[in-house]
Amino acid sequence: MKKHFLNKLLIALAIGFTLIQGAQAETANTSATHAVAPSGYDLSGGAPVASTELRLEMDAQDAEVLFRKEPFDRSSFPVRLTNGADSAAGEIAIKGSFSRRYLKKSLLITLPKGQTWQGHRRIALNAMATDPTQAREWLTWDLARALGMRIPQTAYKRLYLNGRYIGLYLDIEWMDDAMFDRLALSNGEFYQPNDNTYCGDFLPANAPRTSICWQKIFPAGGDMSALDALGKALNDIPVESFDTWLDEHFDAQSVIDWLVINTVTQNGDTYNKNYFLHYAPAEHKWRVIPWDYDLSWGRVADNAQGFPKNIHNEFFQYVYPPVIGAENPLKTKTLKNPRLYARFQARLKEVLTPGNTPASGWFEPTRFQRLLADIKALVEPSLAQEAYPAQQPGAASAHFDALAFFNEWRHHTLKGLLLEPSPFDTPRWLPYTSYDPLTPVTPESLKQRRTQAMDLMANEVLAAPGKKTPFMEKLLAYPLAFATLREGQAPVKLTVETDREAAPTSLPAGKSASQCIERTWFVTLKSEQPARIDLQFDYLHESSTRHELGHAIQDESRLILWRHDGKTWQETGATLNPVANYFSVAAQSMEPGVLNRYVACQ
Amino acid sequence: MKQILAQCLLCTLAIPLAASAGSHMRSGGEGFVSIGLSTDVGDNRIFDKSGNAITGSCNPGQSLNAYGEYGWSYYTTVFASGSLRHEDCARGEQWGLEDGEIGVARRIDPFRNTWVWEASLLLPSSLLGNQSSSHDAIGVSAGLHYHPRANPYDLTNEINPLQPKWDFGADIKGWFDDTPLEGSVYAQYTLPLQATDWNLGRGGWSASARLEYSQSLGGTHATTPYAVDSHDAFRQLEASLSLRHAISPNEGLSIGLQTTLAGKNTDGTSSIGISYEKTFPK
Repeated sequence: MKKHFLNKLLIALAIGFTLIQGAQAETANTSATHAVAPSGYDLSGGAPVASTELRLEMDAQDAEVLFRKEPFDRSSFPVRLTNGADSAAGEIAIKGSFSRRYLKKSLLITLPKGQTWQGHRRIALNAMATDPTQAREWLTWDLARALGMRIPQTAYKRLYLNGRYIGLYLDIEWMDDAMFDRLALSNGEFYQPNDNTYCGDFLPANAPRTSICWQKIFPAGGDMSALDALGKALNDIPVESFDTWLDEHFDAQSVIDWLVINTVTQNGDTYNKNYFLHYAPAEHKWRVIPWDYDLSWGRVADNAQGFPKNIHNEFFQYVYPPVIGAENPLKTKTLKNPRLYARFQARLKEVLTPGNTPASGWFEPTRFQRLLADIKALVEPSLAQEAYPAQQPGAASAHFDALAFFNEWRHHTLKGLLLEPSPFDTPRWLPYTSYDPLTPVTPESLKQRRTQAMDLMANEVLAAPGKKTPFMEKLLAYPLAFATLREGQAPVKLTVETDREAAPTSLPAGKSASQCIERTWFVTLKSEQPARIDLQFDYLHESSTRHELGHAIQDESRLILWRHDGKTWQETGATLNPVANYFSVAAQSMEPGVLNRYVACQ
Repeated sequence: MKQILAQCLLCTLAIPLAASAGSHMRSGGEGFVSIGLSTDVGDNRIFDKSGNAITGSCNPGQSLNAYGEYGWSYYTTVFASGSLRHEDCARGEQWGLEDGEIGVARRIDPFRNTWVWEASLLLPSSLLGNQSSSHDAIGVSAGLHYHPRANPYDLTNEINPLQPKWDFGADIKGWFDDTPLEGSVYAQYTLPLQATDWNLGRGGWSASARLEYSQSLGGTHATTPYAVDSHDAFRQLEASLSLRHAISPNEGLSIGLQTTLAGKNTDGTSSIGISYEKTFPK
């Protein structure tokens, strides 16, 4: 008998959410060797995304030292850019923070004043070493561009150094006077939260620490009075009138688009760092420029582990609501003000739904998978030749598949969570921020495993063969499974139930609960005729304290999905993506009214 | 009284061992300065030729110490030290420059700061007319430092911000006069007491303990109860303790204590001091 304890669920989810609120960067899996599921997402046949070559020449020892020296050394070295006909001499240095700990470094080339290379005095090359797909940053900038944000130009570059192929880089236009002139935003003020102190959140406690929390990029000088005034206003203006204030003092659309991007990409590594603020005196307005998305798109910070495992890990999630990330009144008040929230919803709907604007349907799965295939067609051949590979050969395929999974499952999650009518009098996710935790959050409690056993159910109709249908738990907007009718008389009624975060009560012979995922999936065909159905199931592996792995599971890639069809247990032959934590199983024969039970065991 | 080559005690202990480029090596274009003030404490102690501690006639003296490093390039760091000393001995009060040093340091492994060699010129204050200097001519020094650290590119293990660190080194000095060569070895242990977290506005604390053994390599045997001549053979074992606090991402404050635990023909006076350091990133 299924039970739904609505209040208990909400409170339990609020506890879980409060504990993850403020989670920072997400993970990088640089050691996966898992083969992509054959029946996962078809990302083949793409036309490689555009890229150009960038050729550098350096002293041979400098060239090697540049990548292999102590990560936080800040030395620069002479370098020459060349395209055969032209050349320019400058200095090259490492840039970035956490990414310095990878051999494939992000680079900044600076030319002497008065000199440019293809119109730019500084060339910033993002190594994307923390992202096995090298897609996340490009995708985010593409979304920002589709939204019409005033942002740097970006492009893939194939980097050669002394004739040796180093790898694929993302050239991100340096944000200086030249860029702002191009954007018709000259003579402004430009600020960035200090990446080392990550307190650029405008919280009152950090108001006296502006010079520590922020860097003023230009104009020169330490006068941060404009930023101080902004911080005071952000805290003083009430939620009810925040829309009026924001429209008057900000390019409000840049704030809304920033929140939409962070919601779509599930970016929690921001709001106290990883964004820029520009003040344009001609408009008397501030503007947000987003930054640094390599550790989003499904990755999760694990607060129970120390650096670097807290962000360099294999955890994955796709259900976080829009408030993820550090507290910041610019975010919080925008989402709480009803008129701004409505604009946020409308913009998000535009991104999720095909239409006739550049951003329409950007995140719609069919379109997204085509884009991903094009990126994969560029990235995978390049990865095989990189000089300083950040992952094992072949590992990227599972990560591309995971990105496609993230897109599809999050697309439906966001539709249900944010756009579809809610049985509550508030947006579905607002209760997450309204409940105080029932138990105090302490450094010790963060390291303790937390479980929230839930029984969730969804009924759907598979309307036609070949149409992939999500099974969403309606109250919480949780996807439970996806199903596709392969054979049978449409329409087909199907029920999917999941017993979550609880050891299976029935297992194949010889298996113990400790070897299994702590989830059972139940599928029942409610139509009158048999059918064969493709299914996708996922399980939880969000962090070291929030997961469904039995304690004896040593290697997720060895998990096998079993099915009991009412008579016997059998292996299903399902394929597994242990990066995104999901199984794909094809052509499951279902008899009407028979409860099919699925478990996953090592 | 033999004058031991002045060391910037608290400058040495204040060198940030987890600096952006590692100890003794700076990033190209990066500067570092440490200024310290120390004072002798307790009796004017001397270890005589037999190793007995005897009391000299000087009142406690004070030193103003300065130390600097600059990353000339990625491959070469230059450093310099000097100090000003105030003494009040039988011959009266006097201020004077102590011997100074200027040198270069370079990596042995071009990719890591683990092994660093250095060479320096020793500049006796006698060149500026200071009669109390031990040496009449410039000298040279060659040294080797070892800073064992984990592989920074290993992302599989958690980094413990309170991980203690060891540092080791040795050097040999010689002057272009007839004073004997000197050799020394040191071991330093640094224990972080509180991690730095600038998000919380909190600079970290660390404590260091250092043992350094020095001795002359040759030299005459002293004929008086205590050394009066820099040509005499000596040896000494010094210990120092310091406590450092990071007051900003590029600044630190240290207090320290130094004493000579044992020796022959050497000064054994203890001292305490305070120093301020600042890094100037490129």
